[in-house]
Amino acid sequence: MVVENALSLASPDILEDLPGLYEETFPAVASFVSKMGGSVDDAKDIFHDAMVIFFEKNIRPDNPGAYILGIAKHLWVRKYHHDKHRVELDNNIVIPEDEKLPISTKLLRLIEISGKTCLELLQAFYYQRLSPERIANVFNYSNAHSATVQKFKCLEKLRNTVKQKSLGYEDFVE
Amino acid sequence: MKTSLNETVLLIVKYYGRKKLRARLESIHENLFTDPVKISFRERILRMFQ
Repeated sequence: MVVENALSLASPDILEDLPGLYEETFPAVASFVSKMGGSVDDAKDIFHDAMVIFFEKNIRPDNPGAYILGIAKHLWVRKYHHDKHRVELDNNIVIPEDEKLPISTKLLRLIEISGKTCLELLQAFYYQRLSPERIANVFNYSNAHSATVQKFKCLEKLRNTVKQKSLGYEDFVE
Repeated sequence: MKTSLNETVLLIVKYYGRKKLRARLESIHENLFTDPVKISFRERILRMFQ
């Protein structure tokens, strides 16, 4: 199925230790941002963006902290292009361009409200990449098979919602 | 931009997962900067910006 391969996925084990990784890694990014003349808030923003990219890349480098710092440096240079000669970038790290959602925030909000339970389930499968067994446990399904069946129902429901709400599809595009 | 229904659904799920992750990061940050147990961490960071 297309959905299975198209989403960038996060490593669940790393997600589970997110507070530890945060505490361990943020100081290096903060130190970098400080040296570049940024504020604490700049450090937080760049760090959060770097963490999101890191999880979505679904990689497990030997040194996650160094990798996240590498992403943060790329993000800093992207934001403050004039600093590009002051920052040594790791060329092995490629940061993605952000995709623009092809629907309006209004429609998205409607979908979030009307289909929250399904979105929770789908993001657990596709974004957090939890196993069906784990999802069955978290969402109180009797077994992994039930969770998987519900996942496909939710995908269908979301497709139908988008289709229905987007009858005048172009009207919803911002 | 023409986007297929499947792609739109994928992006919505990704957007939602990302939003949850960002909320979790915010919560961890808030905790690190307000929890008395983490005062040395907070001070260490703030010293960098003095």
